[in-house]
Amino acid sequence: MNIISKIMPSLSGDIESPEALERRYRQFSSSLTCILLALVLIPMFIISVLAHSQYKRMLEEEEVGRLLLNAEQAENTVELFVVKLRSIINFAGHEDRYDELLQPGVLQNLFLRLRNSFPDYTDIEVVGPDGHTAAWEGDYVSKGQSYIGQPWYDETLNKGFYISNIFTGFRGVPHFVVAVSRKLKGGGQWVMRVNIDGKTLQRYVDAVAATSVDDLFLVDQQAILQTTPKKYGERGKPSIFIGGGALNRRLDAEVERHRQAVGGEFLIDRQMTDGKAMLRVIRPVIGTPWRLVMVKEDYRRGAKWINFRNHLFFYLVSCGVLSILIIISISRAITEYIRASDLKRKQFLREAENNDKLASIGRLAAGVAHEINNPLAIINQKAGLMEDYMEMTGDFEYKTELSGALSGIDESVERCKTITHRLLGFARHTDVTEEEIEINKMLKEVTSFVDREASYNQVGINFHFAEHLTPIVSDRGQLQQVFLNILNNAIYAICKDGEINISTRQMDPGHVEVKIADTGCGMNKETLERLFEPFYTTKPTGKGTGLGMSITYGIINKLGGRIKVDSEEGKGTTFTFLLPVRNKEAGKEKTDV
Amino acid sequence: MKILIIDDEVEFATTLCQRLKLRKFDVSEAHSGTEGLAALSASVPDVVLLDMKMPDMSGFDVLKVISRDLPQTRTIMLTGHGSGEAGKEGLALGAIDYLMKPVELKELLAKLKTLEN
Repeated sequence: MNIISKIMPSLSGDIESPEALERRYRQFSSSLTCILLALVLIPMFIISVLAHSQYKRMLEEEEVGRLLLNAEQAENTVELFVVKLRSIINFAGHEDRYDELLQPGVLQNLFLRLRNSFPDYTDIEVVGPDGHTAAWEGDYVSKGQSYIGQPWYDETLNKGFYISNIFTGFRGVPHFVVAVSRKLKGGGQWVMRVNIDGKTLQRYVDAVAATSVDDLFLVDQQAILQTTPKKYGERGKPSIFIGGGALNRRLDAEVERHRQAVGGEFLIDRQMTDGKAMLRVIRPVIGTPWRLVMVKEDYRRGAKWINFRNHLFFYLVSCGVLSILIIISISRAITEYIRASDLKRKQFLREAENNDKLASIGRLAAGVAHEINNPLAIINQKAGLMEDYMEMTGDFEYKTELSGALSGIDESVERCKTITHRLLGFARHTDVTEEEIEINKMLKEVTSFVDREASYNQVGINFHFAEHLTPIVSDRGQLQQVFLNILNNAIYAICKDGEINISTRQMDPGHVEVKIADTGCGMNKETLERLFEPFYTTKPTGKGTGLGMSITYGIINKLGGRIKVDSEEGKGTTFTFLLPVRNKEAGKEKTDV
Repeated sequence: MKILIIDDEVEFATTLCQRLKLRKFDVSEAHSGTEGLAALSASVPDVVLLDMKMPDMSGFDVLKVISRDLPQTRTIMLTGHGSGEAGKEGLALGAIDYLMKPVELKELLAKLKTLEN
């Protein structure tokens, strides 16, 4: 509440000008807007960021988990294929079959049988203990070739098994070699070597390439592609997926489990490839020189993530925009409401102050008038008595002059009487006689009283009457007095050549508005402020009592109406009367003004 | 016609009394409510000119007594309040008419003439 009170514009204290007040309202409105926006937008933004990061983390975990599983399955499949291949060759090249295989037709039969099961066996070769080809069958092998000193031959002899990378060789067809070595009874070793078409491996890899991954391929130790990737690279060339990257630390535990199961060559990371963020997993295929590489486009390019992000963005932006619009209009409405109540309060205070002032002056005036009335009555009677005696007396010197002086006293008494009676009339609550009045008709009647004076002064009187005005129930005589007073003042203000515009309209079913506007000299600020004060007049001494407007004010108040005055010096004055169709105040106990 | 003026303004009462006497009315005066009531009990007038506001008792109090005890006597109220309101109140209490101060003699004479007739 403290913050609110700090930003609230206050009418008290240092608000000296309407501009300063206006600035305070604007400041209030913008502060309120900012506070409300912060209250709405900050939580909205925090929730969105949380949802964003939670969903991102969930997708990351799901993606890595699935990729690890897919890679494991794929590796198992390839590994199984290699194991199968090895066991067939192991079986075919049984230890004591060396001599048998050298017999004409035996190797051919074996090769045909093998080809029936595996059509991709391109050739088979038996290498004797001397390192030369002893027998062969197939498309490309030539007799008598020596393998002594060749790495594959040495490795086969040393390890008993060898599997090569895929290579094209002189035959121009991608293939790989599987070889096993066998001991001869008489000492030495012989080797069975089988060449297998590279397409076999490709088929296996293609078969296991799941749809959930973007690419799956085999590379050798030097990252040369062993199979043809679907998207990234070409067989026989280095893979673009080389080098290491970093992976989200939160996944360390899961990754570690795989690393321990697989060994040191296991790798999973994210990296930018061709401008795209890719997730990659590399794991060795056990029992082969190959490594299996599985790549998947980062989840951030997936439909799920893009949809989520678009939806989140859409809802955030639309809710944000909607909130901003609503909050701005709410702030404006609240500010307007406060401004209106402030204005009302100010008006009320001003009116109350005015009423109070008029009431005090009224009481004072009434007291004075009453006290003056008695001596005035004595003066009147004394002068009358003197006149009586004069009439009874014959002519004497200065009789005429004395008679004139007594008439002067009579006239002055009459003038004083008018003033005291009006003063008392202003101060006193007089009876209100209510009757139904058609305002338009009454205004016409009142205007007819001043027609002559208006035409002498070249003042045009125009009527702008609303039709079908609700007749009001009020005091005819007092209203006539009010309008007559205003019209007389208007003619006096115009002096010569001008206009008086009288208009009426129905404000609402309960009120009728009468507007009397003149093109006269207008009033200055001081006159406007003191307009309703008794004895305040701008007319020359003797021309006005200064009571007309205060009586008008008293009457309109008594009839339950309101007066508003707008005046601009040199331009004219407009009196606006708001009269109730029925005076709610009538019949209530009232105190003297 | 016998007239009694009851008003605490001695100068006013005396002067009015003199002027009426000049016009051949039988006029007497009293300068307070109490004095007025005493005069009333001494001799009953045809008309009483009664001020509303007096220090010892108000004109209305005197009026009440007149209305109650002297039904033949007619009362004209004199008011210094400048409005007919108090006068009307007097009418309600039994006065037959009222005049506002300062009183015009012509007006008073006209009213008296009406009463005489």
